[in-house]
Amino acid sequence: MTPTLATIFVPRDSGALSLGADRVAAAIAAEAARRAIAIELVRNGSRGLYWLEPMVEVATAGGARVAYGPVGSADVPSLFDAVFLTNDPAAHPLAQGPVEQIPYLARQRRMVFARMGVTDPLALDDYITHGGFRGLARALELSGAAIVAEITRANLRGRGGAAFPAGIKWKTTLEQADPVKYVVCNADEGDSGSFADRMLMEGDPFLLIEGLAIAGLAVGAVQGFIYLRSEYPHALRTLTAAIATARERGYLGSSVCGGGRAFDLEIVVGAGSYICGEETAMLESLEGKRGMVRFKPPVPAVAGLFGRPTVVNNVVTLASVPAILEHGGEAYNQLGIGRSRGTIPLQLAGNVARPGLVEAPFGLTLRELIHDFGGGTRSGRPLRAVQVGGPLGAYFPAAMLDLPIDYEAMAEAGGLLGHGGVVVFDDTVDLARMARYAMEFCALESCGKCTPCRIGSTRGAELLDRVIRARGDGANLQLLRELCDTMAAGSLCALGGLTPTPVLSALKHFPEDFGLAAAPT
Amino acid sequence: MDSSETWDKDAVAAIVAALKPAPGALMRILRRVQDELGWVPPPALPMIAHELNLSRAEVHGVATFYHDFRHAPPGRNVIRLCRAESCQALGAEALADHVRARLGVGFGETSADRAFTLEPVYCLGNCACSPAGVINGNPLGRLTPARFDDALERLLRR
Amino acid sequence: MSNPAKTVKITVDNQIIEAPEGATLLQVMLDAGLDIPHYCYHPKLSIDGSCRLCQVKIDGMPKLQISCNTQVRDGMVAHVADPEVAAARQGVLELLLLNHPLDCPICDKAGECQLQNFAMRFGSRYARTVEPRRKRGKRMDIGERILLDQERCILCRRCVRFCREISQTGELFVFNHGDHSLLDIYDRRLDNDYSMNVADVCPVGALETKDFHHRMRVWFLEDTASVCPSCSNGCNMMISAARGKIWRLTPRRNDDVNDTWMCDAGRLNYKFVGDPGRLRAPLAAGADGPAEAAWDDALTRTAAALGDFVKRHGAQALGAIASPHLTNEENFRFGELLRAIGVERVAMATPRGRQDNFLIKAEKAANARGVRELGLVAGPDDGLEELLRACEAGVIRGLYVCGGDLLETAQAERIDAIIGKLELLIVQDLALRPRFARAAITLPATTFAEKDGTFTNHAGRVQRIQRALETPPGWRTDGEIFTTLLNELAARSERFEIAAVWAAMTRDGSRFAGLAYDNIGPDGAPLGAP
Repeated sequence: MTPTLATIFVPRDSGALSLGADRVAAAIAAEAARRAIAIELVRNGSRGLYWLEPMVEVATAGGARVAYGPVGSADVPSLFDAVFLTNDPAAHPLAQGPVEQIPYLARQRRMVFARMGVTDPLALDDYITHGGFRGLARALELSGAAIVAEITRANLRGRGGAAFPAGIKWKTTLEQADPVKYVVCNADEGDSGSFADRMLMEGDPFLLIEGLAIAGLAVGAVQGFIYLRSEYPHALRTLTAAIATARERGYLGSSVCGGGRAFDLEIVVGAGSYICGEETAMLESLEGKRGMVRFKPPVPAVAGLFGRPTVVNNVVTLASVPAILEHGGEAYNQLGIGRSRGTIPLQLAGNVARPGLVEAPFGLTLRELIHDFGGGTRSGRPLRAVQVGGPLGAYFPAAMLDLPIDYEAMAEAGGLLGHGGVVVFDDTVDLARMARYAMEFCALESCGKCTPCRIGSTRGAELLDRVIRARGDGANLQLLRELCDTMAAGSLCALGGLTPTPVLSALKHFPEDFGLAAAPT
Repeated sequence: MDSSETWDKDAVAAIVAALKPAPGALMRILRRVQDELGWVPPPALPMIAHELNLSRAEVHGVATFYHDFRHAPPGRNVIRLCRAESCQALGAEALADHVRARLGVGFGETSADRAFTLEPVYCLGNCACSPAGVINGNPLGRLTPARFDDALERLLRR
Repeated sequence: MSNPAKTVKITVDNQIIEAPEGATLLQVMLDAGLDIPHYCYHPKLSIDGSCRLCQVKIDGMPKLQISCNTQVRDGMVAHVADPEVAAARQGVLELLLLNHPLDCPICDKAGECQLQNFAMRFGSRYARTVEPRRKRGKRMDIGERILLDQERCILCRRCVRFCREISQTGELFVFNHGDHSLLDIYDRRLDNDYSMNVADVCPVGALETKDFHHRMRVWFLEDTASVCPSCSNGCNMMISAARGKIWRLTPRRNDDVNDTWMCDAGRLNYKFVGDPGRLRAPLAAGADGPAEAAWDDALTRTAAALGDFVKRHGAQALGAIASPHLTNEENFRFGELLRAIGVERVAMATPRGRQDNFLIKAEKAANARGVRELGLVAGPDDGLEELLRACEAGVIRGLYVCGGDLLETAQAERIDAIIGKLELLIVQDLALRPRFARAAITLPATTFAEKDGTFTNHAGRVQRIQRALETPPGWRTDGEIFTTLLNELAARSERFEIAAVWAAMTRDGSRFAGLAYDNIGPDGAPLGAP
């Protein structure tokens, strides 16, 4: 057999697939066969540099991984020429240089996403070689209370949107006397502009499994569930295979790593309901029911799935746990600003030149994110608005880009960080229409339980239709403001409670789109 | 809602039998039925209710709660377009107009020849490649009317 | 009450209220007489937390809280007369009214509708609705006794919870989601034994009983607290009457008896009160059959007939059948009458029927237990078989029968044969039954709705009934009939006054001893241990 001349990486990430990564991979295999060049083709996760996807990485013997992108299948012959025939692979027009040195990546602090795109997501040995299961190994030496203490010391807050301290949830569940407890991973990443959970499940599934196992050990749960949204079929396939491998290799099952404590995992797939990303609606759905939001108290940590104490955390939160266990809560707590500690995987999307995943300690400004990382708008037109935190997040004007990205600063500015999605709009955006969309989305996804959300969202969309037809009509805008107050004050959960955020922020910062005098800048 | 459509009773029975013992079985069963049959036939609900010892109303209530569960069979090709903010920022509305015109169907509709069903979706998690869509489960990113037409061509050639 | 909870003090708008620790804030405020709007909350159903109308401001909490899911703690300070609270309520009410059809003129609930009431007290003075109201199902026939109007429904889900938690039949459900949510039945009609309670729990007119549909405006109704006469459970209820007629019966809360529920059969069992076939006057046997007689004449003739009979045959030849439909007081007086004459053979016939393990009891009369506790009857069959055999053996040759239940409990031919042999038959009943046509005198009985008194339910709880309808001038209630006969036959001068009867009824040794009529509150009072 001919010795392997190169390892070529083509992402299996569904974002890359949506841009033809499978066709590129097939072309590479065919080209290698045609040229009788022995290569190893690895389907890695995405590095999160999506404007370069499909991004092909080539590692020649002993050399650094060099990136090319975006690669189409038609580019494959010239790519082979550059890599295998010339002495200057960097001369190819798609060459991006050594991947780790691409500024977008080099400037990040990848902790949770450290292996993202580096490894074959389903190669467990690859995972271990790159530092996997060290957090779990440490957790196995600790009592549940000691694990919880590390999480508490790290000041890890839920990355799903609510930013609730994970340590408090875990501690509450740990302290419940019930012999049956559950750990549930909220993988119902429904906020538009968010894709960190998807990337992670597709690109580093063992990390999530490890985080869940640690959570199980911490609170004394032997069964975990991953509630995965149905829009993520690739994540489902990858996670399913990874769980099977982890079970085979003893990382899941009746005795995790031979330590005598049991923990196993099951995936339950949702059915296209945004509200099931709300933790209590998700529990209802997991129980096989309509995804109706429960009132609290009791909180799930006390009475959750099937009435049992249940830790519910989002994917990134749980995926942050192994590093915290490995390096200690204090090391994690050293990063970040204010009360937002550690790193946050930000997701840059919308009208931006370089969309992708940026993991950095809290404290980066929106400007740094959008301009330094994102390179401004993709259209080249002036940036006009940024929505931070998904469909319930505020629209900020260009003048507010110096806002630091941390939970409290966002809240103070009338918005929220949510799941860390940042969507950029150029000057063609009509914020009155975006406000209408916010209400429409709420109406589409409302579970229908509480009055303000159920009826208010529909009325809000109707009202905004009137606003758009007759911009500047003060009576309609007064009605809109009062409606937003009713929804914010009275809704049962964050969907109805926070839908006013994009609406009122649009009205406040972009009054001219509603027919009012422009806000002073 | 056309309940006279034929549906595979045996397939549903097998799904129910396999998933009945699972916790929260109803959602899993409806999910699997939807995945395997492409819809959740309303006449299958009484059987599911009976097997799970639930009221039919309860099962109907769950089946009507979730967007994914179709109450009628879809067309041969299912096209889903994301209509959320990130995709809107890059022309999803214009793309939607193009697709509707190209396929001759509106959102939530199936073409008369049953070739296409067009569905809205609110975020596919592919926001870094907006506008995004899915054709028969295959993700599509950075969609433009031209790229959509190419994808459709490839589909129809097959 | 076991282990009473610790009492805590809370402050609501500067008013200090004491309540058991952990009690629901909303209920505590309602019990203190505060007017707190709410739709989804119902004291006998699980918390839903969905209508969002009972929001209050609580010191130390960042947002308004729904008081239906807030437990009181010592020192809690809540505010309801607060502009923020008022705005939140008003906003919610405005939303609830957006699609509500406002067809109050033809809505049965109008006048007792919580949407009307709360909109008036807490809502906006102006409608700001521009969009057309949504069309939904109207007057849907969803059950034998219930109509559904989906346009009026505000989705509080009380009825859904009732069907799930109380009747445990699960017919009603909410389908779809969001603003498309719809209350409906699916494949099973709402026909359970308690289905009409959904109309009571419905705070608006979305669920209506067919029985009351479009029949009477509620503001013309006068409510009288009473007890259902239809079985031995003694469900507490309200009699709603107007123009001398009962229009409906609705359950009245009594946590020791029926919570806030009653069965459909009991609720609908009031039409006999206004039945045109009821006796309007006593009947006396004549050459051409029974003919109406004046009250005084009929009673004199009854007393004479009884007196003659006893003189001729001895008191041991006279038997009596007591009625489980009559009150404790009436039966007590009946007992006095029988003792005065010397009658010893007394039995009771109680109709029996289906029972369940909730409210419906097998004995289809309200006061069988009372008759037993008064000592009128004894034995497993209340002495009935023995009495019938004595009739058949010719030992008993005269009978004083209260009520027609005998005809429903024993075999028809047997009763016919017995009646055929009797030399004297006195009947006291609501109507003339053909099989009792041989009676020398038939005295009109009076229904539960036309008199005051008490029933003793199956569990030994003594509960008051109250007069809701007037009787015609000169009318004698059952108790007055017994009293007149007692006075004539025993040369007494009693009047049928409840207080006086109770004084005698509760004398030492009586099972009713220790109870006082005036102390029997709206919830009734249990008999002491035997």
